[in-house]
Amino acid sequence: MRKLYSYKDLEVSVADETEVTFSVELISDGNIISTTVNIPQLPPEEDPVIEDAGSAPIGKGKDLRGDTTVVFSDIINLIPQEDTIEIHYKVNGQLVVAHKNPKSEEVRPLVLLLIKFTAS
Amino acid sequence: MKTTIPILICLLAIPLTYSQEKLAPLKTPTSPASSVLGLQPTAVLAPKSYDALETALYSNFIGDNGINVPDDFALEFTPYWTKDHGLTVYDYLYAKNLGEQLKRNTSFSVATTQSLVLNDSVNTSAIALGVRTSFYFPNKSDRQAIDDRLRQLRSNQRTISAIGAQLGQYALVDSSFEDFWAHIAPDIELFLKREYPNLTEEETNQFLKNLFEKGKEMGYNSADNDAFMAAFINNIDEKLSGDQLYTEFQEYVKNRYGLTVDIAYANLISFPTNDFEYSILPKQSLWITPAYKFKDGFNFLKVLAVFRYEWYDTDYYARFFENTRFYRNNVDYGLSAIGEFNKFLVQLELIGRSSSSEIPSGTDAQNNPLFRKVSASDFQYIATFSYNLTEQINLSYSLGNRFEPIANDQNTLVSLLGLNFGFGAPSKKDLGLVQFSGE
Repeated sequence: MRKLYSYKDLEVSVADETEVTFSVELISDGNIISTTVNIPQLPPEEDPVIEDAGSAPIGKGKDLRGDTTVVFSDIINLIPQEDTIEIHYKVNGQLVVAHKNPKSEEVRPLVLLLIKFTAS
Repeated sequence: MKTTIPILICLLAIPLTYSQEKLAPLKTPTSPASSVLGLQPTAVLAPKSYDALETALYSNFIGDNGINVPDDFALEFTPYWTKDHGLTVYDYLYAKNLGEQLKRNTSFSVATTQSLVLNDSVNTSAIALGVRTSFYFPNKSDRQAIDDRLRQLRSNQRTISAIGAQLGQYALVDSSFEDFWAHIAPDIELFLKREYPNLTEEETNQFLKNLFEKGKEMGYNSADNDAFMAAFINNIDEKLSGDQLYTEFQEYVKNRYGLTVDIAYANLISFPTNDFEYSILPKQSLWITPAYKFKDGFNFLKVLAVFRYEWYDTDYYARFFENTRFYRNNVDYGLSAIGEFNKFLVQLELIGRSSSSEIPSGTDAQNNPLFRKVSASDFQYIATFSYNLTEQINLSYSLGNRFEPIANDQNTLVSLLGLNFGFGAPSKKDLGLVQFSGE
């Protein structure tokens, strides 16, 4: 069974009018990832999806208040030279979660982030 | 009956297999240093950082009395993989150019022994140093195979991550499984139709029905939902054959269509008096092995060519290996074809060997030294048949004619029967063989 790594109670402060960008950064080599950011105000089919590494705008700070923003990643790593999976999740360039797990523990980890955007 | 057949074959084969040496594989060795030393180490250290390399060398080579040569020691170090580079899988599979491949694939090896026996009586120390690299030349078939597999994996991942993101949201607020299911079911259907447009209505409904039934048994708990979410998403992954797609992709990456060229070099440093002040370089080896994996109608077939050059210091061998004959220059060249048909594997191997030396034969009228060239050639042909009796038991048989061994030049018949049992073999990581070997 694939292991789920969950990071809950994450809080990020952003001003009301600040455009919020969510980013995924590959640290270790050879990862294949799909990351979906669930924005409660949007219908599910419009949730931004990031393949491997990249950024996606997720709205203004004031639109993200109240609800929890859920981020979910499906990760696999099949390269034999790498023995650790390391991925960084950032909001507006600021590191929110540095996920790291040894491949001996899980080669296909699932990562869940629950983020609350508070007023700065 | 099933078990008696292999046992009977083993008993019959005992007279044939008695006292035969193991066959050297026709490929570039993973650790060229160990190969040139003739060492079969119990473990190869593969430090993944410079700190680990320093520790491995220091703890093995530094003793109470200064530097010493450890016995049965092998180490393989690949500098590129000591750091993270954030490579995507495409960056990893398709290096920009040959220079980049050289950087990534070059590994250095060290092997040492205290048991190099000279003149059949004296144990001496020896060190071997080696370098190995590999170049891969992808073709259209490879690109197609990678793209197809990646497309399937990506569809699977997009489905899982999209459902996971909704799942996380609903599991926060829904107090019962029925509420949760009422929210999540339409989303799952939406994502399935988006990523798998060929699914029929009936298949989709069946998928959802199974998911609902399994989900109900999982013990929904909104207060502590990690275990439920993990089980629920794993159930979807299983239905989408996520593990199978991963395994197939991983297997393909180990054995890609197209041309691979492995190159390795190693030399041996002998200390005949066990004194560091006096060393001799008696042997050097160079391997070049191109291998081609076919696709489509011939995807069962892999063809390898080998070129191996070995240089011996004949003065050294004449002095320390008195009853054996070595040539200075030895070239092996040949072909091997490997065919895999489900559980059955056939390997045919043909190798030629050309050896030559120049022997002093006096002087001319001006007192210049004269040399006489002596040469020899040999041929090796071996067929190996292998059959997987079960997932854990493999039966193999090799038949043919090998090169004249140095120690006993009358014994060239090869007739080797092997029965290999697997009891949960250690991984490369367990053995410290964590670097990419291409095997």
